[in-house]
Amino acid sequence: MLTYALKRLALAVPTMLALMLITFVVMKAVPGGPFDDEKALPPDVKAAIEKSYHFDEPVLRQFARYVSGALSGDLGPSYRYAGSRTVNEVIAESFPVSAQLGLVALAFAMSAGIPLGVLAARHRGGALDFSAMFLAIAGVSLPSYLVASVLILVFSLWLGWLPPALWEDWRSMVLPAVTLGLRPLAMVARLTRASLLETLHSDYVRTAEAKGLGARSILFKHALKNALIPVVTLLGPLVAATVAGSFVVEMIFAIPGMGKHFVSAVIDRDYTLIMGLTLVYGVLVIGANLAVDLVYGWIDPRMRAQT
Amino acid sequence: MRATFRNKTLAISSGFLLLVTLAAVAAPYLTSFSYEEQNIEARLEGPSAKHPMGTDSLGRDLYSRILYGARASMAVGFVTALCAVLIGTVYGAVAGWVGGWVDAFLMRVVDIFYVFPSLLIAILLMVVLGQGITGILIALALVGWVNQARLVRAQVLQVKEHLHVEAARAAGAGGFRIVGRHILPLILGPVMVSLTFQIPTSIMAESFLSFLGLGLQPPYSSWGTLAAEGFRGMRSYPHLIIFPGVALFLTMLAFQFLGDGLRDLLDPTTRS
Repeated sequence: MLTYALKRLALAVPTMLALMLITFVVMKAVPGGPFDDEKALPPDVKAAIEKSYHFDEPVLRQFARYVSGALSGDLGPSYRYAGSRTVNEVIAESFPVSAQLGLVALAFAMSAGIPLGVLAARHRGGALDFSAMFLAIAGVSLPSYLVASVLILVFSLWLGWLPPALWEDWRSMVLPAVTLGLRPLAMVARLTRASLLETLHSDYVRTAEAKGLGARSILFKHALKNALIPVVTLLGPLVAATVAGSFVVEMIFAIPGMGKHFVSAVIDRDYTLIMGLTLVYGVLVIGANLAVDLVYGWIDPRMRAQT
Repeated sequence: MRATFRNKTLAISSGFLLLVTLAAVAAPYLTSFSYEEQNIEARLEGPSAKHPMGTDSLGRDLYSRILYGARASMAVGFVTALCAVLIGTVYGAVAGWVGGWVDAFLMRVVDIFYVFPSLLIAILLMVVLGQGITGILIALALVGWVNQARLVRAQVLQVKEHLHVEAARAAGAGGFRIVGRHILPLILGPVMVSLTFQIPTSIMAESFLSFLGLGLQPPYSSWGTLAAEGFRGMRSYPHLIIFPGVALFLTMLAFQFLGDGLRDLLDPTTRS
């Protein structure tokens, strides 16, 4: 298990480095810089700015500086908030917000998606299965801005139960978390259903049936445990889906999280902030995938043998 | 009962998509308004007989704008999905056919792209390529190929072992000929299915980018840009976001059903 874990970890490092290299090259290749104004700056001012951001150094040294800075936890100054805020400060403020939103959304997706998948599998081919699967397909087909708009209209503007935006108490969390969790919910429900159906056809379930166990006991004591193992692998894609979803959801609900900062950083061409946030997203997604590999290797020894 | 149900959803979803495509192409003939004709006196009207989906803040007919928006949305979806599938097929075929360290290297690259949310990569690419139609076409084509490459590689690895491939090789056929004439035709089914799933993914990605203000810029408008405009006035005039949103939702839904149906049709093992 230890060698397996180390191997997996060793594979994650080049992925992370590749991501840093790609974002760095991409940001260097961008036409125009954050200090390009309508009015050209005086040459000496421009030179001074470029010096303070180390733009005058060779590109390779800039990259080395960036990597070593990132490794020691310093992501540099933000261009837009020049002088007042560093990328670290922006991330330190916005990460907890996004993390909380993401975790609540994923918890919602799991706690609703798994029962939905189980119900669908138990009533296979019936009306319940049909509606559950229609919901799952709708979940991946609904644009989040439509879901958000309808939720805001109904629960904030008509019923007045929940606030339509901002990030204050738990009540402001409900609508964005539901919007963000809908797609993960659909993914979880579909996989749970498929995996449970497969398990219910396996030999050991037939044995359990043959020895006279009740359907309920077979489902919950025997089948479900094994059926949920593949759902673990979803963690990677789920984190990815949550990150991607957060861009739109945080914009709509005016939530001061990383997704909102990322979008405005792109619009403002705040390159250091874009790179810093991309790096955090990279660590999150790679970390989630690494966790999946490790957990899976631990649950299922066959996985360890394969690599 | 399932087979007839499946055929029905397949027929309904492909019929609907055909209708949307035709409507996008024939937009000028389906409405008496142009998508940019302003009429300040008739601004922000709800649905009526004259304007079936109401009007926007400049008095433009929303129904016409959604019809014309279908052009941009569908065109971007089709073109980028087709490019992505082409790139992925060639990439995956090379990896699967050549094998060895080439395969190992190519697949490591795919793994790296695979773990990251494609919307994140698309946004980063938009930073470089600039916003607007060209940027969005290239960005979406460049993020969609990864799944395709994995799929085609796995299929090529399988078909490579078939006897007819060995026979072709024994007859002296070269790699290009074998892959092109003896392997790719056999895996066309799964490739078509994944194209059917790639199109809605691309359409959705475009609408998200445009909604965030990073995608299409005027004079182009898609369902995403319409939704972005609609969102600003949503509190008082919900029809502005509901109609473009629902147009996108129904199209996505139809593609999902079409993809599921095609997959079951082409792969008898999933039929039950």
